[in-house]
Amino acid sequence: MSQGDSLRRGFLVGLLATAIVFVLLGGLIGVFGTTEDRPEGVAERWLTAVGDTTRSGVKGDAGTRVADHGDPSLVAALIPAGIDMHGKSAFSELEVGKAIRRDGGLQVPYHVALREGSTTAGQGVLSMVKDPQRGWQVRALGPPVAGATVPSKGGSAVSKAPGVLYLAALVIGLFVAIGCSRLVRAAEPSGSLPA
Amino acid sequence: MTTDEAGLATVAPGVPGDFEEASFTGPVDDPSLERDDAYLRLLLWLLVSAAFFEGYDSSILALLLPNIQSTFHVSEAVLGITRIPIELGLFVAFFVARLSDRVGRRPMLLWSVVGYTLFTALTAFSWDIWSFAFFQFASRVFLGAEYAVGVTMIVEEFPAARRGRALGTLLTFAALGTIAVGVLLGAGVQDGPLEWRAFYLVGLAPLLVLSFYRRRIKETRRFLAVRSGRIASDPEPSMLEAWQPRYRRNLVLVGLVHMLRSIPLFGSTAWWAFYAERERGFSTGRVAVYIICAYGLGCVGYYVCGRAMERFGRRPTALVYFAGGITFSILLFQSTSPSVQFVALLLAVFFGLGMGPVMSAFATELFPTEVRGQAAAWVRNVFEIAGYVFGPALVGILGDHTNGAIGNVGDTVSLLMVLQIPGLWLVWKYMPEMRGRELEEISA
Repeated sequence: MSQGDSLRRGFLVGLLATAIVFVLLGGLIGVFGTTEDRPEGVAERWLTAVGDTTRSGVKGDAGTRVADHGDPSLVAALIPAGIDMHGKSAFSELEVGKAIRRDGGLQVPYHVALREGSTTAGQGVLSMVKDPQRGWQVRALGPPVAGATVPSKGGSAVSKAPGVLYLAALVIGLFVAIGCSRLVRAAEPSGSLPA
Repeated sequence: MTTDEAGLATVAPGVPGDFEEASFTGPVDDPSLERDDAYLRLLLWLLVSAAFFEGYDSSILALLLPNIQSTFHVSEAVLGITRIPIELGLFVAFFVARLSDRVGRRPMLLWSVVGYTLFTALTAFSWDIWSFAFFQFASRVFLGAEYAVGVTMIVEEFPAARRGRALGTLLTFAALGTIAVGVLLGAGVQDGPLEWRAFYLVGLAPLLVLSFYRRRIKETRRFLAVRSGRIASDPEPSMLEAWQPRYRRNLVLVGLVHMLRSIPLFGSTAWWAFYAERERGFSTGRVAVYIICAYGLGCVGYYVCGRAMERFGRRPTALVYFAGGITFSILLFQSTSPSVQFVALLLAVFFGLGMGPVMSAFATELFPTEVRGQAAAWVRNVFEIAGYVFGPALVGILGDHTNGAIGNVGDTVSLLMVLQIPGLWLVWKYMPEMRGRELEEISA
């Protein structure tokens, strides 16, 4: 086998190995991924859709998305009528925090800032209920609740990686370091890769 | 590929290596092909637009991510996945740029400007996230080719003593592209009738002007000389030349260090604005101020890195910059205090992006002249682009607020930063020190 053929063969083997690594990585992410929607994520999507109800070009679609994830009648409480948003999203700031359990349901803290004008419902909680067919739904707006605040006001993030995950990342880092170290050594002229 | 006055190696990403050695041997001795200072200045100013728009284009996507998400109403995971085809455009650009060896630098440059302009304009008219991804992919192909051909033209036209400075100017303008997006963001362009789409049209106007002035650009002396047979063309090296057993160890080492750095680095730069707005409650205006200040001051990191690697050596400089990049990036994505975040962003840019010169030195100095261009191209267009492609995608998929395994961008980026530790280890354990050594000595 000529050196050129050998290089090409090594290159194809490398390509195949890389593809396998990425497929395995994708599988791993899939295995550890959550199959159930987080209520905070749904609440954020709903608020985004509410903001888009004043946005040119996507108003109709936004209305559909609002109805998909919650009660459309709540929009009026968040965006007072008669304010011209100049065809933009109604919210210039949008943030949700970690949900808390209260009164048998889930409440997601939120904060929005209107692009124009003001609203008394700029911050508070969204009451979420899980519908067996439609998943998490926003059913009511409430005033701020003690212990439920958005991260920028000192509350918890929507989701927090547990400490053990950082430890696992360090262990993975160690294995990556060992693997890379072996690859570098194997690539030396006297190494085991095909030459 | 070349070295500047201080001996600092400067990477020329994607530059075909086949004309490289001859460009060091001196000018082609035909008076009609002499390039005066005025022409070289014009050439440089026209070529910096390619570098400027490389920074500008990438930053639009990073800084306006929440706006783009809102327009196409897609999840963070989908946003992350669409970055894969978009950034693969830079990989394809490597092959497109190689066409300049056949058709000439000038036509390749002009066609790449036209292609970039066309697809950037079309991006503004995207109707869904996939059309957006396609137009951005095509725009990246031409932008990457334009940048690579621009660097080749500088290498072939500028005298050795001014080449390093010219390439340095190119790198600086990439950072200015990011600052420009910050300024436009602060000016509220995204609040205009065209929203984020206006940013792509703003990028169009100067390019149209540049397209007009580019009529004054001449074919490089080196290419004309080769075509007319006055000097012999080097045989086109195989793409796999840099994988020969005698270079392979260094290529694997440098490539892995680049990849381990770029996955978390580009994951963090692509998602910081989104993180700041959605997980820390920043307004768009505050994001703009932070970006302008952090990139403005953080760019000093490039300069300090260049000086430090000459004074203290490549390895210690890289180790300090790696450690600083990891520390301040984690602080940036974990702190809840806006003032701490400001300082952390500034220092994360200083160390994280500022280590570019020492990474360029690794990618060039460890290889002999005959394969330096090929090796640098592999490092930049394959290993490093793996970071552009997979870094943002991993953060989007794992950090998706609704379905992601981790569920928040801040923790996902912090966890990915751990990947830089093996890179740091590889530098400490295997990377040879090249300070004060001539390229020939290192090659031997």
